[in-house]
Amino acid sequence: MNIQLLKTTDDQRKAFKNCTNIGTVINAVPTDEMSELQPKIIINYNETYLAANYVYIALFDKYYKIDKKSVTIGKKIVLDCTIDAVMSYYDSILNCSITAVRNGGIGAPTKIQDTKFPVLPNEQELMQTVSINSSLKTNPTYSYVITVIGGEVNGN
Amino acid sequence: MAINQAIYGTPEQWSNAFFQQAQITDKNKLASFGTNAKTLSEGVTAGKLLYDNPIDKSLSYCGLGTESAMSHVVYCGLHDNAFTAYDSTDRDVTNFAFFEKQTNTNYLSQENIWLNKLDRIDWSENMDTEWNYTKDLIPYTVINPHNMILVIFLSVSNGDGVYYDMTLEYFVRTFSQYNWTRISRVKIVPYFGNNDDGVAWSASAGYNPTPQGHSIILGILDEYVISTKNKSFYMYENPAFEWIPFGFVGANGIGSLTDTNLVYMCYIPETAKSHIKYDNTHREFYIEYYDGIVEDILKTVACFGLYFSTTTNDIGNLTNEYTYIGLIDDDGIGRGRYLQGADTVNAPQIRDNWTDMSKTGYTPSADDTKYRNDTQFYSTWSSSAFTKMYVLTESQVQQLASELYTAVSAAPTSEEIERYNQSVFLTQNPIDCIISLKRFPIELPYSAAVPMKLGSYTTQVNAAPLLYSTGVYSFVFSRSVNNNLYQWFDKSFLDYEPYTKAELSIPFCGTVEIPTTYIYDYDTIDVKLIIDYITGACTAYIQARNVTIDSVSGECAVSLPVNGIQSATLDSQIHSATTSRNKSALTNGLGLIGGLAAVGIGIATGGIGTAVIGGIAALTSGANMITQDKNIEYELQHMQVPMKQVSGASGAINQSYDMRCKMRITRPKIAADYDAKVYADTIGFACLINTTVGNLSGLTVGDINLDNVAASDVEKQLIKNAFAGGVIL
Repeated sequence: MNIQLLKTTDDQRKAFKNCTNIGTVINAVPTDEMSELQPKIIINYNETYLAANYVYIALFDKYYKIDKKSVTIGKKIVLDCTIDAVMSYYDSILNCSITAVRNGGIGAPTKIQDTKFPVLPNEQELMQTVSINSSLKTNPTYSYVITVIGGEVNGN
Repeated sequence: MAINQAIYGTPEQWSNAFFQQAQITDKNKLASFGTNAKTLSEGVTAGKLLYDNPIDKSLSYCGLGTESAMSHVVYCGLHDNAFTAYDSTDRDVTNFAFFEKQTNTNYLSQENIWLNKLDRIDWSENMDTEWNYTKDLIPYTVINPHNMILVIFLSVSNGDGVYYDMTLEYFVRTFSQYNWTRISRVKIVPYFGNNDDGVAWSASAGYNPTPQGHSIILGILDEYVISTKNKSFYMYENPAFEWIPFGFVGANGIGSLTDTNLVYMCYIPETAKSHIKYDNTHREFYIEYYDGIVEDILKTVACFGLYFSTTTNDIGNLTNEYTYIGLIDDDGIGRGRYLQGADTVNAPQIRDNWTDMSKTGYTPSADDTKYRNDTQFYSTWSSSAFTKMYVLTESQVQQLASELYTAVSAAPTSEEIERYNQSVFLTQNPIDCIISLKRFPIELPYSAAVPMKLGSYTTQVNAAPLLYSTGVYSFVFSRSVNNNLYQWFDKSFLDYEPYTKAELSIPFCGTVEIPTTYIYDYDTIDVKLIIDYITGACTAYIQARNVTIDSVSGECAVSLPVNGIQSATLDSQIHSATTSRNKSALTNGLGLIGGLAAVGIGIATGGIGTAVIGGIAALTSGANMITQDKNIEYELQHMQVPMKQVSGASGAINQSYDMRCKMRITRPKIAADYDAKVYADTIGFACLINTTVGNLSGLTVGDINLDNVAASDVEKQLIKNAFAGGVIL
């Protein structure tokens, strides 16, 4: 089957990793039993191939991470691979709905509480603003209200 | 609020309003938009006014509150000859402005000045249509309450299809005789004069039994024109003579009605809504007379805060029974309260001699169209015949105390003291006339000073009666004024509890915590502090966007103890002691004790014992040896004066207060080396986003739905696990 060796320096978590080709498409043969999820394939020895850490297998149309490379007798390289499911299904995933609870792309904190956010536990900043009502004066003349017995109305 | 001088000109540029006596002082004034530019259309040309913008609120010296029909507008329509009420605009406050009108570009020198009149307009206008009847209006910038009185006219009918104009007084007086059951409109006609005696008041020029210079403030208006932008209505009564423009502040105050049937517009207060009727025969709408309509009309006019009258007779006599004045509350809004007749001199506009209306302190809020408030606050009127309350200064309190003490000692004989006290003070003790004395650290509203009366006794103290029994003081925190309150942490969770906290500190009432969402998400925080001037108790209501969210109470007055002599008890003690002493004297040959007054005065003036004979030593020797007589005499002289205390000290702290309302906010601090990019790439910001994966970028942690992905279960699980741990998109 045809495979393309790839090299990437992207973070393991990157969904679709930027890869550079290592060599051209080469022919590979599987070992006896090979699973689609964890294929083990054999290729001819070429020292440039040892730089690869990813592989694209055309037969499955999927991307695989190379877990282990071994050089065996008979000038062969054995690759133990594991599927990179996210990269393999990347195009489909883009159309999937998701409820994201963390996202870096938004760039700043949201209104959702974030307990990991580096807030200092005890220090706080204090601000004050005032509102004044012009009828209440800070240095008033005291007013005395006296309540007295009524009785005769004095015209008011 | 002060007139916006950037738009309407400076006080030096304002011109005199036309309708006033030449010799009066403190004239009413008109706006200026520049040299020879006074009308609204000239204001647009001068670049000061914009089409389709609400009338500037600074022209409103007060707001029309809920008792004004202008705050409740019902639109009536006819479909198949049936009356339908379409909508009800419901506001707590409506802004308005007064205008003078000129007929065309020629000004007041024109002969037919009867077309010039005072109109009211309170809406945004569209000037670029031919239906622009507002282009000749000139705004009033100064209204002197002394110089204007609004006379109330009604258009009424008894059902025969003919409507007659008459004053409200005439309507009331002739109601039974002519059965005026239908009222189509209520108008106010301004009369101009001054507060100088002897100068006749005159109506706006052209006044005749059919009032022409008027504004319609309540009622049903027939025939309308809707401007093409559906923002304004015009009522066109008589093409040859007059038109009444009207509308409301804020865009789209009135809906769009394209029905070709005539639409009749109403200004109706809440109570009158159910009384709108339609007569198919005469094709007329009217308000059917109901009990209380007269009072509703008075309240509607009172909202303007000006003098108004129900008749044209004796105009200018501002204390006759037909004269009223509207009261404006502390927040600058008229809510239909008024004073009548001689009481009108107590209204703050008159008592404090306002020469323009800027003293109302009206500052309408930012919300143009709806001020609906779930809780109404306004000062309550102080009136009770059983008790009287006066506002005194410190020296007046002392003057009263000294007068009370003197009054006790003024009585000539012991028998007459009791009668004197009871009939004059209505009680045996003068001190009982005083129910309480409280000291407030604020200035209280009062009306004109009168000689203070205790019961029926008139004191020498000129005291000002308390005007209101409660007062409402408002504090506002808003985005435009208190900008530092609204600084965000990027509007994130850091701006809310428990990271950011806010508390309000209110004078007299203490502190209350406010959820920060009410600050950020509701634009304004209003604090209404209600102070009871009788008990000193105060309650503050905190409102966010007119909804009450919290309240807190306190006390601001300090009760002062009032001490006095229990004179009735004292008198009887002296009387019986003197009688038995004199009886003993007759037996033992000692001289009779003189009149009671000698002892009484000594005690009443505070100097107990001024008539006391020498100390104990003096009683043990010689002629003053202790005998039974001497004993009685001694006891008489050493009588303990029975004191009485009214109104003991209360728990309120007697200190000076900070009268400002303060909002304190504590915000969190973020670690110094926080870097948003690093955080985004390593942890990612907490969020809750429901979208498709393609819309996201950066590190993403979440739950993904793989329904339409043709992958095996194991692969799907791998993908889900990857997203649970974080995938960089």
